[in-house]
Amino acid sequence: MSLPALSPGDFAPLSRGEVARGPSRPSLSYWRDAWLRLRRNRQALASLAVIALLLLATLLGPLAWRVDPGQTAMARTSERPRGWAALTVLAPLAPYQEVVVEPPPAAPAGAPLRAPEGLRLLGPATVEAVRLRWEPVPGAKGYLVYRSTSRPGGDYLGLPLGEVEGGNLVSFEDAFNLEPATWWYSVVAKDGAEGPPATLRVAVPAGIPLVEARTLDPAARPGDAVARPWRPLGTDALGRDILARLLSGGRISLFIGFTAPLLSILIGVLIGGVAGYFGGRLDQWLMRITDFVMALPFLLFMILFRVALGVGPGESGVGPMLVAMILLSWTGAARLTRGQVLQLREAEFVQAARLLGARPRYLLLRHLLPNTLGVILVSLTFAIPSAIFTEAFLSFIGMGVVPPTASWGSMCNDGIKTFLVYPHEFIAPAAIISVTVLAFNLLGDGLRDALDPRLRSVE
Amino acid sequence: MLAYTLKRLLAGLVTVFFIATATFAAMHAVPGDPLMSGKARSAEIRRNLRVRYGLDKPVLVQYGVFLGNMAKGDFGISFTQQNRSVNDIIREHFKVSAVLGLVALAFATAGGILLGAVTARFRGRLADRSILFLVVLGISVPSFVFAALGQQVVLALNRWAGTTVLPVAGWGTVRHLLLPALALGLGTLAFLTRLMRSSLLEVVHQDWVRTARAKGLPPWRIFWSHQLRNAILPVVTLLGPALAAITTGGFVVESVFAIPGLGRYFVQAVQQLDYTVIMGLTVFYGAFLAFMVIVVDILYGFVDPRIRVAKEAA
Amino acid sequence: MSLLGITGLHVEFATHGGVVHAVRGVDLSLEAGETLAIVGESGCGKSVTVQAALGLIPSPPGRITAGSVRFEGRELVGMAAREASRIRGREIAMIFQDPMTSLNPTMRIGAQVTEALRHHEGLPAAAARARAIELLERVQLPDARAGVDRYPFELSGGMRQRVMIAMAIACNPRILVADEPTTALDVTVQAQILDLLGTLQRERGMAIVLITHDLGVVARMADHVAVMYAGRIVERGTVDDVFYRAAHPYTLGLKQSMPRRDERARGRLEPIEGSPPDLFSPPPGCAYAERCPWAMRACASADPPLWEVAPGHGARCWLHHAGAAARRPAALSTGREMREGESP
Repeated sequence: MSLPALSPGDFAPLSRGEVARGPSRPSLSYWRDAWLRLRRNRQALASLAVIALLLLATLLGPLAWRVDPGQTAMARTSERPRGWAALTVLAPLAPYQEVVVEPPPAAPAGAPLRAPEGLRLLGPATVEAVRLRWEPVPGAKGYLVYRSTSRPGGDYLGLPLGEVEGGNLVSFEDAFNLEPATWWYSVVAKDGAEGPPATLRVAVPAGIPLVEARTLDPAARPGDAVARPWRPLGTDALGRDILARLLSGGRISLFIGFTAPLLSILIGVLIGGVAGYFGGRLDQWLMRITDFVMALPFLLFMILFRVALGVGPGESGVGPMLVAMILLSWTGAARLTRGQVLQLREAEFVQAARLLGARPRYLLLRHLLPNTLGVILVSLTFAIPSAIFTEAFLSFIGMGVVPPTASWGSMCNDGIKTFLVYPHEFIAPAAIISVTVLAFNLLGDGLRDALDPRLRSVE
Repeated sequence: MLAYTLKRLLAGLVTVFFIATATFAAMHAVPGDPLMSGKARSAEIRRNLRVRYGLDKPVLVQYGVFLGNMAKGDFGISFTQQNRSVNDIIREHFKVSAVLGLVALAFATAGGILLGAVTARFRGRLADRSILFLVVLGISVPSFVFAALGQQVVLALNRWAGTTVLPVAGWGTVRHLLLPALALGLGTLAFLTRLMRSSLLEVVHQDWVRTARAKGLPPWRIFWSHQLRNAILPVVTLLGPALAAITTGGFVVESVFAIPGLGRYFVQAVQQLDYTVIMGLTVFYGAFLAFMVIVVDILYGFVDPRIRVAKEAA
Repeated sequence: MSLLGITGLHVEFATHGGVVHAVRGVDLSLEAGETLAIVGESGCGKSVTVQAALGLIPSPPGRITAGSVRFEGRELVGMAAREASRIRGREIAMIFQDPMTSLNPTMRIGAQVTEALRHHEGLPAAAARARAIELLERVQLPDARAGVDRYPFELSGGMRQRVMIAMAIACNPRILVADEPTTALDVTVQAQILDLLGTLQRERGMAIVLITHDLGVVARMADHVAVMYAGRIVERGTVDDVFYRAAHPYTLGLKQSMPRRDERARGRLEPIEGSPPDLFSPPPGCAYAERCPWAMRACASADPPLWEVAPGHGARCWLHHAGAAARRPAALSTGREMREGESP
């Protein structure tokens, strides 16, 4: 490399400002910087959208979806989620008559029971009834009938529908909560022990019994198309609309989920702020109380408080639950705030302000509060899902919101009882709890990364 | 070390005393006098209660009697079941809960450390991202949902296999234990994975890791003897809270799987308003958790030489 | 062939705010048994240069974008990790600035000292303990016999740095890189550590690369000096060259900002005004132009070459150009002048 040519002008002194400083990174205010960071976090943004949607749905949803969440309908229990469709009105079935045959030939003593032969439908299969007929099994003293939603395998034949007493009785009518779906019926002969099953697959077409159709349209006749009120998420064991219950239950779950953390963090910030700001003996006492409350096992005392506040089983007591939650969960915020305030009190900019004669009120409002706000906001975002969790947990064990009042937790408690047969009743509230808590957790992660660089998870 | 242990035990006793006091106060805040009301099933139970709890005496004396009984390790008698003491209940059912809880804790800790290490090693890659997402999911899904979904999955598995691969409820064999322990430990596992990951990522940037690399050690050796051990320390400190989470989580998991553990019994007692059992079990659980926190602290001393030596010197 | 030769080394870091050009074309060479000091303000890239040369830069975010590092003629940049780790720790050892954090807090001293030996030379565990005691005695750790079973937090800063040195010399390396070895220590301890390093060097014939911002340490220890500024070497030469015949304004500034004992300079210390440029976007010309009292137009627009003012003594400054003779301050040592078309 050889030297470049320089002109005499190049050796003139360089005046200040002539030096080209490369563009420095722009300096941003704390909140603006935080917002920019959050905006870049796609997960957090999506979570924010989900939360907004949930709030909107629970606030306005019950106005738009005007189905009474408490209205039971015994004719439509445990319906699965289904799209809207008009149904054909069914012709009334002929009265059911049991089929009795001549007593079957006695089996040789000690011979094992055979599977029933010739299992078939007796008449059409409709949502009103499925009627079965089979050939008698030698030696049988009666028959057991099972129904399953999937092809039976192993020992599991499905829901036991009923028993037929007598080896010569060879028919069965199933009118229990039939839905348009494919069912597997199994019939087993018994004589003390049970024989092997015969299984029949039955497809039940959609339709609506005439009696029910007449309640919707008095002029309905067989073959007409009649629409039932739509239950997009199905119904629960009492025939209540799950969508309506989710929406109204969301009001309670989210109300608890927002109110309890807000109030408990407010109390915590006050106590922690006072302790940290004034210090000394007051601080010692307040922190001792905090330690004590922290040592209490949280859920045990939630339950204990509920009992102590006189809420019996079978009563909902949202109020007592809130009180207990607030009384037990302000400690985290108090410790956090105290630590922050202690740190900030010694910070140079606060010392400078104090030196300039700033009053405590001004110091608190102008310096201490804004600088703790970020940390507190983050802990709030994490407190909300944990409050929703607590509500769900307590309601699930029957210690929180109790049916008939709906909350997501109490709906789970209802749904789990029939979960093995009708999973949708449990899955809907469980999924919405999980999605809500997930959204808050992801938003909290994003906020923490954006607001509090010291707590930032090392990514 | 001994002095430290004694000091911690003393602090634990104070905590338990506070819990007992709070429990007593809470129970006496119940409107009316539940212990003397007609809810107690029989006259004989009422008579026993009066003797046991000094119910005809002033509140302060009752408080003294209550604390005295607790100090003797007598947690009281049932309010609804004749001749059944809380100690009997604990003796009968605690073992079940303890086995379930320990298996769940072991599963959560081992899994959390392992997954945390995997995510930290493969930071930013697919394995990390997918595990992290599952972890947030694990933190966001209540344990009863895991329990119920687990049952459904196992049912489908049994049906598919044509035999009972795993039982979906009940208690007795190791196979009964697997599913509930999994459901119970999953949330804690997710929590510990996250912790382990951030702890490891912090350790990776420590100066002594650079020193180890300057020595020319191979990566696995650096990971094993310089990163992992130091990263596990904060995980150990959080075993106490993890244990508390698993203990209370046991309430629902035992209920869902029909496991005859203390948690299920506690839930039943609360539902039946068996005041004396609630009181006894709350104090028992409180004492148990306080004690376990101490055990974890002492354990931590063994893992972290800085603490151990400082204690020995003291 | 020099023992260690670095040519045209460029190192970048990808960060949240953009790419930092931390090292921008560094040439260095180290002969066997000598001491080379690299001097500069914090953030000038001196640590990054040696750490990158040894493959210790965490990647990502760090990356060597160009250049070569040769140890006894073998290229280290891009060398397979397994082969590189045979040189690291064994042939080239390193001690770090902060002995508080550079030792593993949960591992006993003895194990840390002999770890490299056991790995590189397969020393059995039984022999390792004896070797550890021997090494710790060699670095004059008081009560070395008990020391092997201690943990780092039980030792003082100076003792820990002795442990670091014991660890580094365990495999008898050809080169010892000492990154600010005394910065975190008390003044009295600093002198002891430097003496120890000097003794060990004479005994074993190690070459030492000493990274420091303390010119006093440089004067005491070094044979050759390289002065770094904003990711570049701005002046290099022997200790005498740099101390008595400084040929770069930055070196002059450094000397003036350092307290001295001779009566000539009993006046005020003169700090260098301003701060180094942002290495996110290094200036096109001389990086020091903004702070340089003698800066010229050329300095802002064109990057000066590392100009050999005398054999073995180079400076990166336009003031050595024949056309700048009138601007040249008296304090600046001059030699061969630059003329158009000549090569540096």
